[in-house]
Amino acid sequence: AILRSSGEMYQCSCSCQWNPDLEPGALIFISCLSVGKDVTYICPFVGALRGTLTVTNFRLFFRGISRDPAFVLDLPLGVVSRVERISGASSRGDVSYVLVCKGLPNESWRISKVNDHYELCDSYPAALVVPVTITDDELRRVAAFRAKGRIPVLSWLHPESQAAVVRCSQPMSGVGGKRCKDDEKLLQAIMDANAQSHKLFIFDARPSVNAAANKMKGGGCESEDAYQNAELVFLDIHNIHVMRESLRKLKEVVYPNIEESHWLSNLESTHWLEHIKLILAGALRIADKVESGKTSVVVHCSDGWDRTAQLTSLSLIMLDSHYRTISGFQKLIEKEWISFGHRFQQRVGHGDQNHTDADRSPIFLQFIDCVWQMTQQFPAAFEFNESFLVTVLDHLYSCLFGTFLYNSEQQRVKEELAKRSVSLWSFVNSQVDEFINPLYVHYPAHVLLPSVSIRHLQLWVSYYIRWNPRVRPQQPVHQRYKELLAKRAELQKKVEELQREVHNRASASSERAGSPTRSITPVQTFV
Amino acid sequence: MLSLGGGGAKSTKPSFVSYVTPEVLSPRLDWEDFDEERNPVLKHTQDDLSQRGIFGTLLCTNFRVSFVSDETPLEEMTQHFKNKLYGENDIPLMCVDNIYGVYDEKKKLITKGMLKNKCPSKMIIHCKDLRVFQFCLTYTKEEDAKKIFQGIAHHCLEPKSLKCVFAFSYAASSSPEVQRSQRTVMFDSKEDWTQEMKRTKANLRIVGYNFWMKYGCAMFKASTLPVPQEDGLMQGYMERMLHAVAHTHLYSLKLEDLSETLPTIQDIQQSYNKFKQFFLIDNSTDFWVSDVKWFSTLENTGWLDIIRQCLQKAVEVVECLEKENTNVLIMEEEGSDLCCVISSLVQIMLDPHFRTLTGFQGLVQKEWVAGCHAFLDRCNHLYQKDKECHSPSPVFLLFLECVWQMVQQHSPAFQFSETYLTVLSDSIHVPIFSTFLFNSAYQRESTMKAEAQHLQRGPLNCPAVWDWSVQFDCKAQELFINPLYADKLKQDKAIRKVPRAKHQRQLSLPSSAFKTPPKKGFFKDETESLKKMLRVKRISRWMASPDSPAAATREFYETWQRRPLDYHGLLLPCLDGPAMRLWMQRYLRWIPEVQILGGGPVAITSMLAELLSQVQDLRRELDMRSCWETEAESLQLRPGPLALTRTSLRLSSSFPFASNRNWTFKPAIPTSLLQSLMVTDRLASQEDETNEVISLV
Repeated sequence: AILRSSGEMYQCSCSCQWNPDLEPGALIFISCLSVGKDVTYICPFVGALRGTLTVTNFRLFFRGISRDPAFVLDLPLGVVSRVERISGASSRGDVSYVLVCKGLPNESWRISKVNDHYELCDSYPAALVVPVTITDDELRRVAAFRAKGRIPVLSWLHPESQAAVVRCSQPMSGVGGKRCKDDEKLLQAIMDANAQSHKLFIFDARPSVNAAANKMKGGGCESEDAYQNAELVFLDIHNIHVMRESLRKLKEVVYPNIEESHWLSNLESTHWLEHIKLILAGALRIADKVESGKTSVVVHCSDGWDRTAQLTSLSLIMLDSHYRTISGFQKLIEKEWISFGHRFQQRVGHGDQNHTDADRSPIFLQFIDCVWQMTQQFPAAFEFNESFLVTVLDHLYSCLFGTFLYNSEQQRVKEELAKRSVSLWSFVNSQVDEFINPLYVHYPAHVLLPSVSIRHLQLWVSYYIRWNPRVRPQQPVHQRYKELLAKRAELQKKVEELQREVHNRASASSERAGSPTRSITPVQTFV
Repeated sequence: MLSLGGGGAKSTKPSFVSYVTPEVLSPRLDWEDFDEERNPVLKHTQDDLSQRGIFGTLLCTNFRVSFVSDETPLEEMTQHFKNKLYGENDIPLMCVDNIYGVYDEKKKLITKGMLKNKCPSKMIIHCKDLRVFQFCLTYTKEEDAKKIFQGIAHHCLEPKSLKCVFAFSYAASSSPEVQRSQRTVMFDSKEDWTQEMKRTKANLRIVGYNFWMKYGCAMFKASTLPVPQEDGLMQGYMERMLHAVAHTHLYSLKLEDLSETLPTIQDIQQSYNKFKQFFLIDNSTDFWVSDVKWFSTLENTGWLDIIRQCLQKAVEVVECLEKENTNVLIMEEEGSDLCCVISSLVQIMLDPHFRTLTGFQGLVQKEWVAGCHAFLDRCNHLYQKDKECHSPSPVFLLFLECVWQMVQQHSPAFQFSETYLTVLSDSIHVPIFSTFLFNSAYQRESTMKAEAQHLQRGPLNCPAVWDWSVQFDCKAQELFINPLYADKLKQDKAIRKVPRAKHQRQLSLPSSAFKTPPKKGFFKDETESLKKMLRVKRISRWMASPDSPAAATREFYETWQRRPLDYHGLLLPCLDGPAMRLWMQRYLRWIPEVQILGGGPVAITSMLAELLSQVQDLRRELDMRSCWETEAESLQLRPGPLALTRTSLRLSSSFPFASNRNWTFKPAIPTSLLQSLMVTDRLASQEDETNEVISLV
């Protein structure tokens, strides 16, 4: 049975991948990685608390047992930046783990629980990071002013300059240019949190025409009068409908046959690569402002869950090398896409028959395509390889894993998704070798600045045209590199062995001096 | 420090102020005469994104136009890949493509007649290796400016005689010990030919073809040397030889007339002229404007299509030879343009020997130089305006483009790298090598003889381009070698291990935990059923039309593709639209907007090369140890790939070219985002969440 009638490119093939034995829910709950009982959490406010610590592969969950009401700490792993091990000086060898959430909370940012029960915003996660100076009440008033209650919250903080990437939805300023004191205060607070710059860039992902059109529907954009020291920049990225249409055209061009003589102009007529270029260019501008301008940025589109997610996650990949690792990339998707409510169910159309649904759009596919473009430009900067990206996309549609099901964290919690399904990441991490890029070299503080010229963008042939038998999968470089690495390891081992033997013999011969040395069988050194 | 234009950030290119006397000019060639136009006090700016520049001196010699700036170049970076003959700011005279003058903000092409006009405020030189130089003359004394401008224009635009080509003064003054350190077979003696015939005899399957080719070329040479003009005689030779071949091998013979099926050399010239314009970019605004309609403009030039057609034809010929065992006679009007392209391509596809560095050089020597490709006319080295009898056309470049496509698709099969091909394409316009200077071997020999007499010396010794040490030192030459190249020995093992990468379809499927239903011939079944389904629906566009000329070779390609890939056997290029790529390294290397800092293919190749040398070191170490087992000194491992990748962080994607330019760390952000995508669709204005909005209301 085909559960979904995907509007995507490879309908018939998708159905082949579906194995009815593996329905979500039929699987046991394996995403829980470890449960620690009798753990003490040293809370900076209330002191030590005893309770149970549960680590799943996308969150860390602590429930206190001593207090009433129970103290709950619930952190998506995405906000955990590192775990430090502190060996206790006590003789019992207590080991406590301290969470360092990207240095959060710090003097300018705090973790707010105002959305604990998804009352403020049903598409946001429970824990939000906001400026310290803004109270929860003010946040509620801001939520009334922002579309769908998606208030400006922290997405990433530059470790050195403290420049922040903040995401939100459009302000509901409407035709009359309504203002909201609290919203202005919040943006001012975001600017103030970064001492390095007295400016704030607001990136509106839409074309300015669309932003203006939104005013008729109560939306709009920030006016520079109301938000002093803020500069509004439009990134001219089109909406989900344009993207859907573009992909449809692309499909017509590449499937089933490719017209050779007009290939390039056909490709151009789909505008697909132009959209990719605009998204990458937008992310590049954001990354540039944060990195070289040391300025905080606010990113939004209309609702802040499509283009915003693309832009923030791509600029984070450019800025932070952690997100270019396999685990970091997983966190990035969990954080920017899944937690912050990209409407996967609606955009992909899981379990929905209506394939002409206007809410469908290949937004996530487009994001992965952008990442792929970057991997092509920086072949050694990403820990994962192409097949990792293909796998992620395949399981976006496969419904084998719960990762991309439902629209928001609230729904996932309600449906107990974590219990009823397996995470894609546990599958990926169980055979991580297949997804490792052998060329990967970790440079800690390397900011990627991709070229966004269309001359450097190419169609992702091994994804979009992979079903075409004439397209030869080719990764000879990676293969050869792996072979060489193996060869090097083998030779190194041999050299070490020889060395050890020589060493042993040297010590042996010194014991019984004068005895003739044995000859070693020469080592085979053919390749 | 003087700098033009505003902006606080550090200039992308170093700014220069002080003036240099020509004596400081270090890479000066001893045998180079300075011309009258030497002009030591000319200031110049080189425009860029930021409209700033460098001050320096512009001079013109009988070999090159040279700009001398005085800041000591950033050491380290310059060392990587330096051409000994001309530097970053030198333009060999033959390499000048067009000169433009800017008069009152208007760009005008400078032609011969305009020399007497007043001096432009800015001079833009487009080079044949696609560099663009902009010299601003407004800061120069008018007299000097006029002098240098006229001098450069005179040297670059006036037709000249072969005698004036710099190669002869170079050859005359170069020391005789610059011997051709040959490993490349030159095919200029009978022994070379017999040698080659012996070599190919071993490979019986291709002997029919190769034999003919060789014979043909040998004939050509024989007939051109004594009587260069007599076509009739040659025709006679051809026919007799043809019969001989057909009889001795008892195969049928197919005639392939290239002039009927392939574009003419005029078409090629036109297409390339259009094509190259998109890479000769004066400023950033132009760049982003041309970015918008990039793919369709690329297609309209037709250049990629010409490449495809050539490869297609070559595949057709290979099919005849390989599958049908038919001899093929390729012919065209003069037999030395597209014939050379096709026959060389066919040999590269069939014979792994020609995919090695020396083999390839031998091939060019055999098919092009000995095969009498009219380099002098086709490259228009002498600026002849008479296009009728000397139609210039980048035929050799077209061949290199085709080879590049093959290298791109099957890089482990080739010993040389794309850098090698790029350098080779640049070397066409360096007037020092005998390889690309003459129309025929006859012309070469007679001119050299005359020139030697004129100079009253012994035989002149013009180096061949294959003597790479004339241009590059050993370290730079290492970049010509493809680190991916799979040697014959290694190949055998590799075949057994990894016959072919998994098809993408299987890649993402859970392999161990979740088993897919075992279904053999899965893919085939699927397409069959698909086809059946489509036939019912009568959707004709889904089926490839069987009549198309490409259909036959497509089948040939597909059968070949189904076999395990052997890099030392027959090699066919994929000719699908997405497979035909733009030769980025050659065409984009000088454009600052497309540089990827710390990225690009160079990141891979440098890492591979490093790893390869480590493996070799270890192997040597091991050999040494197994010999002298008592040696107990500790093993010093070379620094790992990190040491190199740290430097590769600073390399740009244009490496090794333009490497001593300091690419900016600033990202190139499109200036014209707004114009770029005018979607006038109703969808664009449609709101994101139509139904949501309604439901909210």
